[in-house]
Amino acid sequence: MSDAMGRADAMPPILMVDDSEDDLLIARRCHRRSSSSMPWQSLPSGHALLAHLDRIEAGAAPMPAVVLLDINMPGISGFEALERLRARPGFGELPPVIVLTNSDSPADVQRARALGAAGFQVKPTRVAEYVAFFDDLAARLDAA
Amino acid sequence: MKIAQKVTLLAPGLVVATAALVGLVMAWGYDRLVAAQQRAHLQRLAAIEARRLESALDELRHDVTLLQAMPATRALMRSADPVDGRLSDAQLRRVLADVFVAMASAKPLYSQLRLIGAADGGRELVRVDRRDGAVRVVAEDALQRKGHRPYFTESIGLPEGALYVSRIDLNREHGAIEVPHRPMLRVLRTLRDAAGRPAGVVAINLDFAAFARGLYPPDDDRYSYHLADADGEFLLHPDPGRSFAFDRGASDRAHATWPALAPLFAGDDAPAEGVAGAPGMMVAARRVALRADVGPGPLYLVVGASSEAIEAGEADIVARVLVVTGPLLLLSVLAGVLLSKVIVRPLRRLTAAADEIAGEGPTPTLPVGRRDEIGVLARAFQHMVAVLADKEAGLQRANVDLRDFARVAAHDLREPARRMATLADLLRVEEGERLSAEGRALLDRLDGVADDMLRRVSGLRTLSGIGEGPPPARAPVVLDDVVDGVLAEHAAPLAARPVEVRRDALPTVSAHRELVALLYRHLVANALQHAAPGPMTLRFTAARDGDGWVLGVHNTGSTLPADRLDRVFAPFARLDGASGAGLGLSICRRVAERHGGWIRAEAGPDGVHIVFSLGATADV
Repeated sequence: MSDAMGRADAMPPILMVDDSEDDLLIARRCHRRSSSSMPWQSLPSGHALLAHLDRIEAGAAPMPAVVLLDINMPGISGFEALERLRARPGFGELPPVIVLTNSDSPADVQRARALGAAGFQVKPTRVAEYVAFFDDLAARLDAA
Repeated sequence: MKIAQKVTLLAPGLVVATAALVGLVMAWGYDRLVAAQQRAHLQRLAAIEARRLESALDELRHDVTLLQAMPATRALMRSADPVDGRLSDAQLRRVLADVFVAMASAKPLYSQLRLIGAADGGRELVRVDRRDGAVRVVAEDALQRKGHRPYFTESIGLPEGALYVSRIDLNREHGAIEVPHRPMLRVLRTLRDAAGRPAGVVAINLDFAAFARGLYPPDDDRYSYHLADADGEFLLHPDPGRSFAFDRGASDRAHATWPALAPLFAGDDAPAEGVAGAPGMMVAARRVALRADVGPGPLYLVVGASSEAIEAGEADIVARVLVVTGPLLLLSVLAGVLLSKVIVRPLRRLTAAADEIAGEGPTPTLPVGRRDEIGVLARAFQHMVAVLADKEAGLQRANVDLRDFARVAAHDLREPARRMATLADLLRVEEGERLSAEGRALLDRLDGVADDMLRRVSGLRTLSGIGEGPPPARAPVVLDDVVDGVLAEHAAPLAARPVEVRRDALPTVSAHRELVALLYRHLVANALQHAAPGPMTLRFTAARDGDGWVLGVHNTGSTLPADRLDRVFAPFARLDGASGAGLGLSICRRVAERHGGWIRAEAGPDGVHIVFSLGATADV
């Protein structure tokens, strides 16, 4: 949260939403090891994400370059958060959302696509795989 | 036969049997009663008829007494003072003839009235005959001498006023039997003159046949009447040919016909009445005294009733009884059937309930509200069913819980296991260089443990995933292709040691391709894992078995103790010292069973053969 509340750089950040501090830590470290130079922001729940949208609308926070969204979270799940996000005026297309989850169920993949997710990534086990994921993400965002 | 059927048949059967028994006893008693009544009735009838006969004979006696006492008779016999001295004998005879004619006219059964004098060879003095229904006085020149006839010779010597009755026989005119037969009963009274000498007799001839016919009409179809003389010879018989047999030189006697009547003819001490049963009839006999001073002895009246007449009466009563009791019996049988059905119905329901429970049908309604033994049985039964259903539900719940637990555990454990593996990797990447050699060795171990944990969780996920949902959809699966794919997956371990791969002619079967591949994958991994280092043989087997195939994977280089053959398929069952999740063969068993098949392990001294069936896998 403090990351998200921090500086409002000109460069749009990567925003990761996950209830597990361990997963946030692993992802941040792997992101740091990658070629990506984008700022890093994180939120601990779906509710926090929805609240953050208000600040973006108010101009108090930048629009993220991409949202990495976990599915299995207490309160509202990633799917519900995604649904509500896309339902809000001004967030029908942006920011792009990639579901980053522990699940490899085909049903979850399908549902994520149906709700408007741009990608679906099972959380990698190896650090090298994680770093490669961020390298690839940075390359794609640069290209966009 | 079922109990319910027995009861249903027994109840009406008992009704019929009871009715039949009661009917038989009643019929027997009724028969005896009727016989006794018939006997008493016949005896009473015989007594009445005998009295009628006696009355008729009394009348005859009185008439002949009247004629004997007439003043004209007495005057002619000179047995008293003349009533009228002026009348000549001829005049007296005319007077008497007038009296005879009057009496004959009044008594149509009298065929002859006579006054016979003792003088002149028993010459008839007055005679009135009935001929062809007309009464006429016989002319003087036609009068006969009867001095030789037994009735005259036997009576003329008797005292004044004695009553003589002749033997009843056929009439004779001028010494010959008159035809048609006219049996005659002659009743005479004697007369003596003033000096006491026999003077003559008054005689009345009774037409016995007409007399008997009048008393006892032969057309009575219920009773038959017989008259017999003192010797038992028939004087009247329903069969006309049997009357007066003695007069024709033969003999036909009552006690020859009915031997039971013999005592009646036995002499002075003989009983006055008797009863006899004969084939087809019953008779009652009664003696009738003639009360003559001289006579042929008593007459016997025999009244008979034919069995047909008796039975006709009986049959009538039996028919009435049947008309009343038949519907009653039918009603009883019907009631019996209905009652037994009512009694048996709960039993049938119980039986049906037992059948339905045995057939795993819906729980039926039971007659639990009854207060009898069947109610107790039904309640016990219902309780049993409830307990059974409860236990089954509990078991199902436990099964579902277990499956859910396995699935949830597999999913939930995967997350921390992955984090642990990633964190260990991160530690190596970021801090590896700063760790001591010992620290790196510990990190390697941590890495290994995390990987193992991930593998096991993954196996558990697979295992719990196979058991869910509907049975797998079958499609033609070319087993050779499946085996090719699995061997390619294991190319590295296969290349790492000398392995000889053989395969039987593998069929194309109807099965779920992915699951079959999973099965072969685990069997190959299992074989490679357990075989001792060094050369080994891996063989894919197939043998026809009825509609399906018995398939298998055989490897050398390992064996299984006999007591472990069954247990290798249990989850997490691992041989001592073996690595791996211990779920491979459990997954294989689940796949086989999901196809409706089976799996088992066979072991030799240097080889393990896992064989399995995929159910009915008809060639496709």
